[in-house]
Amino acid sequence: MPLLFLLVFAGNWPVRACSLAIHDWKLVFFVKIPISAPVFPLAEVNFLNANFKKPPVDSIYWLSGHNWVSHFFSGFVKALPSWPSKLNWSLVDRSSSVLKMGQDFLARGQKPLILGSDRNFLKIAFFSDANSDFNCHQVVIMQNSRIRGVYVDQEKPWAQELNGMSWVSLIFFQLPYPARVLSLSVFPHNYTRISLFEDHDYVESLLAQKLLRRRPDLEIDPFVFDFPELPD
Amino acid sequence: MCKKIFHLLTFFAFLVSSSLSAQSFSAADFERLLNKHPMMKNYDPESGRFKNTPSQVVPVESVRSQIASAQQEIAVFGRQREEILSRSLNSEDADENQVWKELTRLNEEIFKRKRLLLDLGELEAANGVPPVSRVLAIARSMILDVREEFSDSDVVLNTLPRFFAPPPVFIRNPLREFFFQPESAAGLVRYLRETHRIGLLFPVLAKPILVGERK
Repeated sequence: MPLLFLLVFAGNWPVRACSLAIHDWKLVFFVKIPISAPVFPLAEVNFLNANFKKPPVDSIYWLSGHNWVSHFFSGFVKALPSWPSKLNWSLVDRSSSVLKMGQDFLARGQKPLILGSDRNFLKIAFFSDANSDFNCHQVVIMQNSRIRGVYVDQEKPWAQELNGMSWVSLIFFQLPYPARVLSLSVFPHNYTRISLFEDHDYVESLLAQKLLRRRPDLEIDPFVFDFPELPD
Repeated sequence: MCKKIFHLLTFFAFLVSSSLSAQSFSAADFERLLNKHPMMKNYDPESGRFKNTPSQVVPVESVRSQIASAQQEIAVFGRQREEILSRSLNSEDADENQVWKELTRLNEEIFKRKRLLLDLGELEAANGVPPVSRVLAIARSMILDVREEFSDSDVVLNTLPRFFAPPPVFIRNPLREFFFQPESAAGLVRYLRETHRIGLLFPVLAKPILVGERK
């Protein structure tokens, strides 16, 4: 919940995903859980935002194996800063496919925007940093889905498929309580990661005590993730 | 007797140290090795670029025709995508997996062309001269190949190459503006003011330098 609120306000913040320390992350724990629907449609919002400059319709039909979690969290979509979040999201249970639903709407003379999320997985990974004698840790919660989108327009129809990915990462020193948190970041926002929180003073103090290794350069690519690729 | 033992010890001390240094040092004629590199056959001294590589200077007309052709292809793929989608939305027995496979293929083709258009747009803006990073990427790979021959050495003794060619053409490069624009008299005056510093640097570069090999 606090993460969602942070995400809402972070949309207007500049990207400052800067880390002063260099990490050598070693995977300690990993689990992949199949889920019926994405917990939060962050990748879906990003997918629409990247494909349409302005809303072609005023409502979105989102097909997935929805449950109370997706129903609950999708209520917070409206708080995101990009245009897809401002539309009406109708959560539809996956009884038909995106194309079949498009055919039905077309037969009725309607032209909505339909999204489908299937093959949904939640990956949870715990990394430890070898550069800090395994005192610095990172928890990554990643959500993967196959996203299919169809815009049922007679004149200019649109359809696209994408392997959607969204994640949240928490980096902390020794223990995951607020005073020991180094950074909290989320992906994607306009296909880049955004840093919701960074405690530069704390990182500087750890670097000064040689508990973390200093990054040789300060040029950070926001398109590069700060953790190794997760197993499939 | 003590004197003889001292001489013997001195002899061994020198022998051991010289054999050690022979193991960790090697000499290289960097210029000869670079000239021997297969990529040097493609080097065009006039443009300072490598022929048949992404660093090659392309005539602007050719860039424009590539842009037009990419735009045309995008339009064709876009029409095909719309046709497939309209057909499948209006047909009850469309094979969904096949439709998505075909749509994904067309979307990928369009995406590739759009990326190409971005590169071509930059190339057109630079009058067909690709960014210096393209030359540097080739140079970096050549240097790695050359250094590979000395991977066992800790330190390589070499000399800097001397090419009988103008320096590479840098777009909006202050150094180029500095040296190659006759009207930049003010720049020349500034350069002359700094000769005492630059002069200190150039004699050093003319001599062999030691390069530490990274392990």
